[in-house]
Amino acid sequence: MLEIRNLKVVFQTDRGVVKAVNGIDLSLERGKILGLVGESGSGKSMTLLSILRLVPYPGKIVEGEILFEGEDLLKKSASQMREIRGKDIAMIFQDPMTTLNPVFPVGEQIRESLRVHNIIKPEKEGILGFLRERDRRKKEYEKVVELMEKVGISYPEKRYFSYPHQFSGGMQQRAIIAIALSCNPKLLLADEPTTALDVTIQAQILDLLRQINEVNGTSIIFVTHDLAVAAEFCDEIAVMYAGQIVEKGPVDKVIEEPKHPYTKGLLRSIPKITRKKEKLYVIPGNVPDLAFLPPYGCPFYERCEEAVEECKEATIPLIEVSDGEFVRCIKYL
Amino acid sequence: MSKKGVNAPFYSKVDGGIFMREAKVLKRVLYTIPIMLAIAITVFIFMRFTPGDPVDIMMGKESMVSQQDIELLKKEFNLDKPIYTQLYIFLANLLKGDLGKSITKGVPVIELIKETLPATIELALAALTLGILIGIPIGIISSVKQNSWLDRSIMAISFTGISMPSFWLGLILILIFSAKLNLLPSQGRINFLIYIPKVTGFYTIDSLLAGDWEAFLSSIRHLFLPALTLSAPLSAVLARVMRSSMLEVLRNDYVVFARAKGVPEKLVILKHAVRNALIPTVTVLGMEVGALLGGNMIVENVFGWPGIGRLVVNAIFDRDYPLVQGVVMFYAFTFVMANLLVDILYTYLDPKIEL
Repeated sequence: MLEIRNLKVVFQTDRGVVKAVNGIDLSLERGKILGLVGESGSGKSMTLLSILRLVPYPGKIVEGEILFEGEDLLKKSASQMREIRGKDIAMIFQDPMTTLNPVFPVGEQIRESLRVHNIIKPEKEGILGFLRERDRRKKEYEKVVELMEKVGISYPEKRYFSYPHQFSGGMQQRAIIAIALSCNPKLLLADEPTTALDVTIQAQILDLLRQINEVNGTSIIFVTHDLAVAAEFCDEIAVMYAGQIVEKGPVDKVIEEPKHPYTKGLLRSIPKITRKKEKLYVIPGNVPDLAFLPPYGCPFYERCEEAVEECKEATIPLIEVSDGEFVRCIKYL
Repeated sequence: MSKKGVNAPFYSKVDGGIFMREAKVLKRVLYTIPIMLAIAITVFIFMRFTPGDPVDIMMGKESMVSQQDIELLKKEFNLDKPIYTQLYIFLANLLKGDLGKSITKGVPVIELIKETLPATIELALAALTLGILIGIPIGIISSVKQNSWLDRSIMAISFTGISMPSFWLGLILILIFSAKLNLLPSQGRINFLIYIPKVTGFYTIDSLLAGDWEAFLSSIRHLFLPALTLSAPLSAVLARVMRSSMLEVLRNDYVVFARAKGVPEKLVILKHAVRNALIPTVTVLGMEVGALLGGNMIVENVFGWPGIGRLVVNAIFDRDYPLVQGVVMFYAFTFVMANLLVDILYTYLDPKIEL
């Protein structure tokens, strides 16, 4: 249902052109959950925002195709795109505290998404416009209450009129999910939806997302920097590094037998209770500055433990190592 | 479990009961009493610091009036008593609601204020409306088109608007629109040949009530230049504040989220962003009411507008103590009330703020 081909997003900054997303290929089938894993600044969020064509200024999508149900989103007009946003493709953000508008009641913000996509159509009959409007509002209100109940907000009739600051972080994220669900989207883009929440709430939100996926058949792209969460939650995983996908494949294969040194490093750096008093593994070095990335060679070269001399020069494609499993590493060429 | 048992009133705000807001407003109104008292004392003392005595000024330098008559006059206005007694009399009368009698005009101060107040309010409201209608939309446009030539020129103009003294701007406008182009009148509130019955004291409203279109047009034409002069710095400040707070707001996640919901861009700006950006702008608006009051003294004098501003300037020159005190008290009261209004407005704009 979603296929991204050779997507490139650049930011024109004072220090030069930053290739935030540098030729990404991804595909997602209906009803599946795809995990997009990587460190901060690896281009995960930008990939999501490009799908909705909401890359912030001065960022720009310069190349590629984003096929959603066979149609290229990058070729849509602004108004067509607006209709897709929120209706066919919904997005939830990392920090619930800043995602809801602080000056409007939570329920009204959910109702707004019903309204902008005309989910509840006004009655054709009815004598007076304002009576029709009142009717429509009432139906929308009922639908919002139903949605709030569905995502696990208790006392929805009362909470409808609460403001975001009267909600806890977990509740806010639930309300945001209610907004995302309001139009029954085919695809849900979740940008680190649990990062800002504490662990118990995190589990609840993941359960909720899983439930949405199973009940509504909504496909999800789940962005996270936590490989452990991705392993548990996703059907497929794509690991990103410096704007590129370095490894992707079915979750079992990527987690059980990681091929790329970066994925291996990420997996090794997850703390385990069974390991005793052992110093936690850390991938040496830092994410490279995307403004000064050389046009050739492996971007992970500097930090890679398995690097060889050729890595510096060669342009490495994404190599299919087994069915559905891809790696961008010179060892598999 | 979640449905029954909770009967939140349909449009009640946060918990706290129906009369919470009213009670708090009343409390704030009562708080203004000590503030007003402090202002009264300050005004009284500062007025006595100014050199010269009202009776001396009234009589002229080489007065032909006998010393005895002067003493008599001073006695009538309690000027012969020690200052602390004068202060006591002033405050005691104030509590009774009596602002005293004008020394130069011999009329109760309250009458003079009543007479000139409508003119001033009419001008101030016109300037306020003009300032808001010009400043806020310009600020919004500027922020949306950030760094474009439009934005740059708007900001340049608004910078000029802030730095231009209003007496100068007033004179220039008179020079262009009245003297050169002969488009608009430069003095007074209405064509002096027109008579309209006094109802509210606002000539625009009174002429409408009388159904006199000619008078209405005349009063609007007279109002335009002084209101524009008075509103220039206001709209410039509002435009700048609105622009910067819009730019701040537009960077927020909830703006991106609104777009991701599929909200049309127009609504993203005008609903989601503007509502948030108005909060700091309203603060500035409250402060600017003070500037508006100060500005009207100058503008009323430039345009021959028979309002409180002109009254008080003349009263200061005449050392008409009771009149100056009365008008300043009135100014202070307006300023305090305007800020109370801003605070109340706040609670509607920002749900996080309570009174």
